[in-house]
Amino acid sequence: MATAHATPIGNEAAAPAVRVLVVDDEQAILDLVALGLRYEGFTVQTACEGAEALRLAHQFDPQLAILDVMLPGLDGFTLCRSLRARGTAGIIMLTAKDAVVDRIHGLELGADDYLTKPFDFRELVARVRAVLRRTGVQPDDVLRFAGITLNRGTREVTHDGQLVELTPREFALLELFLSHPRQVLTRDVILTRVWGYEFDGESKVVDVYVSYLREKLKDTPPTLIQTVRGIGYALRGGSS
Amino acid sequence: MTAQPAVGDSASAEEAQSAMRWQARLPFRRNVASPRSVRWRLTTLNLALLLLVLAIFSAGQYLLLGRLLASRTAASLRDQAQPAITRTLNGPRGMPDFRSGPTANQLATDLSSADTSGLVVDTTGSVLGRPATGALASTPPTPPPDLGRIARVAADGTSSTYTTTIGGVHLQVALLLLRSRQAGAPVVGVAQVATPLTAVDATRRALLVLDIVGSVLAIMIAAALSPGVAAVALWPLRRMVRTAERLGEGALDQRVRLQYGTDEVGQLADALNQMAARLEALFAAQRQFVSDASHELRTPLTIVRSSIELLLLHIEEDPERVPELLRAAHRELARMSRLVTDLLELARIDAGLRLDLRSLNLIDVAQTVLGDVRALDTGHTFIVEWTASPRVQADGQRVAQILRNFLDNACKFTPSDGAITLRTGGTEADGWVEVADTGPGIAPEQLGLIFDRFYRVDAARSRDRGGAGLGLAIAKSLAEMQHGHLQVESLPGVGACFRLVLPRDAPADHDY
Repeated sequence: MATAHATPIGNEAAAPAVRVLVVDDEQAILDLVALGLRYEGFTVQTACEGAEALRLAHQFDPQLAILDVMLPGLDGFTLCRSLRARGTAGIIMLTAKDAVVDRIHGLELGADDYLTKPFDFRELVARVRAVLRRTGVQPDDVLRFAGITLNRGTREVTHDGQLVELTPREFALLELFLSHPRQVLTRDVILTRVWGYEFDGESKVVDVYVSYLREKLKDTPPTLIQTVRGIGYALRGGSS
Repeated sequence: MTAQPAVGDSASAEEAQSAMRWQARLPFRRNVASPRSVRWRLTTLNLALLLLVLAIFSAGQYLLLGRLLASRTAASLRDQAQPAITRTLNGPRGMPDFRSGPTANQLATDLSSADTSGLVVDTTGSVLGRPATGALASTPPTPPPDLGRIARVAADGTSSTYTTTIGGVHLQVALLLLRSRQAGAPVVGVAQVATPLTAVDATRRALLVLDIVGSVLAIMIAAALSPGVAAVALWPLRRMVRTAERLGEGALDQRVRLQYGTDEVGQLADALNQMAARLEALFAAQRQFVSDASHELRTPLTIVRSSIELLLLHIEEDPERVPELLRAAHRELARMSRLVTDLLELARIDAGLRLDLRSLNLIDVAQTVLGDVRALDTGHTFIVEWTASPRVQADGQRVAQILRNFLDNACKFTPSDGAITLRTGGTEADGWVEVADTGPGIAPEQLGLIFDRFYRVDAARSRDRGGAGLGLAIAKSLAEMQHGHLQVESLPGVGACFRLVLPRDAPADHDY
């Protein structure tokens, strides 16, 4: 799989993208994780073994590294220590070993978090963000657009300076819109991203929640979250 | 013993039933009361043996002593009578004439006493002399002369003793010759002396009673103690039963700990321990295998899962990625299928594969496999060196499988312009076929490991091409099941050579 660009895909995040280094001896996994993280707005570099990873780290200066424990040559734990030493703030270890003793070992050796394969990609992203918040790389982890600020860490939402109370679903929906400002999102995409792909219900639930969100943002007639007829919804700022 | 389990669906039920029946017969499930109990058997056998020995001993003792006492009685009878006889025969007037009454009567009287009765007869048995009536009153009864014996004694010229019963009294009788000391002197008469054997008989009876009572007592004591003794001797078996039970419940680290020497009990303990060790090793190997297998599956599963997750999450915004992601998932699914197939193969081999062994020409098999590989691989150069045409005893399908594995590895590791060579050969005992490549070779320290399950020489490269490290392990198992083996030689930087050796089908000079 070609890794054409290291930069994020699709969205125009306001803050500079966080730099993530992914190290795994399986090329296919590297490609997939990198792709997925770029979708989420990260800048990603990949390496398939320890020495190469350290070289890249010197040039790329990642803020977070995702390492596989079992690497040829330099093993994952040693690499973890080396990266830590050179200042990589956050480290998440990936492994096929899921025994409790292995998880403890990993955490004791300096990993900030530990994930076993096969993992749920959304969980990986969530843990990445959590580690970034914990290590202060993205302490704010705030999304901003058109007077709305959403803080992923504190779960606080303000609109024009006023605090807005949202239910978890509404929060997730707003987070999705803020992650893709000015992009049209179809109901399917919204359903998958917010409700999960296991969700069996009607897509009408999206319309219902969009209306809830509009109400809470006092967005009537809708100028913020606009309906794009026949396609879906888009978060646009003020003007139509 | 146990009935054969019925074939078919009811097999397991039958087996369960016969297992239960067998269990019911185990000796230690019940107490001594069971007629089939080992302890009971040991006890009765021992008691029977004891009884037999005691009986033989007592009988022998009884007879021997009886005879001894009788002969002593006879001897003392003779000793008692002889002086009187000698005196009479060697009187001042020389050899007396026994035909006249007084001498004979006198002798008879002399021979009689409180415990002997005497009589003098001639060689025909007619009475020559009797004891005086006064003396007669207190003597034991006098047996009537035994004419036959007397005649024999007179003819043989030796004395004799015998027993008889007169009027309810058991008597020992001695017949002593009366003749002059001169050589060749004729026998002029026979002196008969008798003594009762009542004392002797009483002694013998007492002894018999003692023997019987003693024997019975001995048997009773032995019977009382025997089960206890047997239990002590069999106690190690109890411990082993308990150990075996614990093993059966799954505690495979249990062992019989005491040392019992080299007798049957010790042998049983050793056998049990060995079996337990083997079971433990087998289960550990099985656990390891399952762990390795699931580990191997995690990576492809991760890839498939992530591919599809990304597809679902981002398919709308990045549709150009779709083919790429789907291909990744598909490739990994193919890899998992191969892995599962290999794992099933290994499991079948472990469980005991059925082989179709027959006489094979190795070149035929090699050529077929090579043909298949060549058809798909247009890069490598294949060299063939059929110097010998060995016939071996093997399963053609499995040999092809092994050769295919060798060739696949060779193609994988040899650069695209490299050469791969196939050779055959043989010795007196076996035939072989080998595949030599010009790849990077294998380091000496890895040579011993490459046949292990899941072992990969170059992890990154092989996994990309779908290998899980099972090919050589399967090949090794297959070779060994056909009573052959694998050999490998390698020079790092030059190449590697894998050889399959199989037992010959026919003697060397019959190759064709």
